[in-house]
Amino acid sequence: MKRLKNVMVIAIALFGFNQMNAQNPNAKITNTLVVEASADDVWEVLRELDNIDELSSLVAKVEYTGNKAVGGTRVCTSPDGQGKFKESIVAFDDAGRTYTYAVVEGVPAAGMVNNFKVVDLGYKKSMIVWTSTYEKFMKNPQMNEEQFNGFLNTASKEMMANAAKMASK
Amino acid sequence: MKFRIVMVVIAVVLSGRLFSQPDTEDDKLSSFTINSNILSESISVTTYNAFSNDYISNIIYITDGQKMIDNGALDTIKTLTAKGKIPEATYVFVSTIDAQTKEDKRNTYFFCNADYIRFFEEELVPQIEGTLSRKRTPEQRSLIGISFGGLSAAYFTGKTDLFQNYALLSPITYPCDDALKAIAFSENKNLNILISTGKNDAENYVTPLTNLYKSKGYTVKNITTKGAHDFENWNHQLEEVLNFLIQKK
Repeated sequence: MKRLKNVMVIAIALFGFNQMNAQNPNAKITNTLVVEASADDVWEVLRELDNIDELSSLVAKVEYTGNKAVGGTRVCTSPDGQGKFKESIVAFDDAGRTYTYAVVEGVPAAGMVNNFKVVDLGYKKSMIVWTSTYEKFMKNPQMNEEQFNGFLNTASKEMMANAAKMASK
Repeated sequence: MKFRIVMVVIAVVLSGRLFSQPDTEDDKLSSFTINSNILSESISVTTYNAFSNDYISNIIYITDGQKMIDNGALDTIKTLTAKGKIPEATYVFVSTIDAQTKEDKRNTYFFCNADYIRFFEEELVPQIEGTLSRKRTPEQRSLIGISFGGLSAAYFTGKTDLFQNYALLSPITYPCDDALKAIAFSENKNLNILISTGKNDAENYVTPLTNLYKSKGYTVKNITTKGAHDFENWNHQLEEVLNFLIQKK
């Protein structure tokens, strides 16, 4: 957990707070990344659902249960084995190259719902859009809401960058 | 002293009348209107008490109530009960048609409307069950919804612990993503949920709901019929649906 915290603090320091809505109870974060790969190739990576450990350095292990679709659940464990995020897939659309997951346990936020979408830009280019909403930040001794939003920004950007790399191979 | 005795006798007689089993078909039916402060609407309700023992009867709440009655659901329930094909229960048909304006408000009530849940929690259920000799538990309560009413019932599964048993008949969930999110975040345990679809009906919505409910560890039963998105199909399912909802636990 200490290691995870250190990673988060460094990440926050590196990436700053430019996209945060810390005081907004309905905080919404949107991150985008243009990728030099086709939308289909990027979507092939993201639609796997159980490969978050390949996309994020904050996740060492993924235990996925259920269908690779709505109703599937994954428990992502941090490298130190202490942090666990339980996520439930609540929307999945191959045609629209998008899926939505609810983070039901492991984050200091109630009602957190995140979404990945791959937009086709043509000419073997695409854009990954990641959005996050939550209803309420839960005060805790580990981090404040600004730090939490920084963590989300960092984690999502890393996942998008790694998805782009994997899709470009 | 004499006055007190008279009052006690009257109270005993009245309570006996209220809680005794119904004598005739007319006694079993009751229609009234609830003026909801929460919804700012007049809600028409019809109850049908098919029970012979008030202490064990389950209560089945049915949305789109008036349309269900008009299209034969109540007659089907009466027949099935008379033949002993379904357990005895109390049925509460909750209309979506405004009692005064006759406007159908189902699209207002059914699209993930938190106030509609509050209406059930704070006005409808207390009023209905306040007349019974014993308060019912979630285990003894069921909710049936058809089509968008199935969407509403799905939202209920995620947002309230009022019911433990649900039947989502041909649920159409596209108008409201919040229903699936509500289920994902729900802390409800041990729900029993029946989800049905006909042909060219709600097939696209059944699998996501089923998967999500199973991921929560709920008991899920699926029914697939050759029927259409209509009352004939839903009425034909009632025997299986009601036996699932009122199963002995």
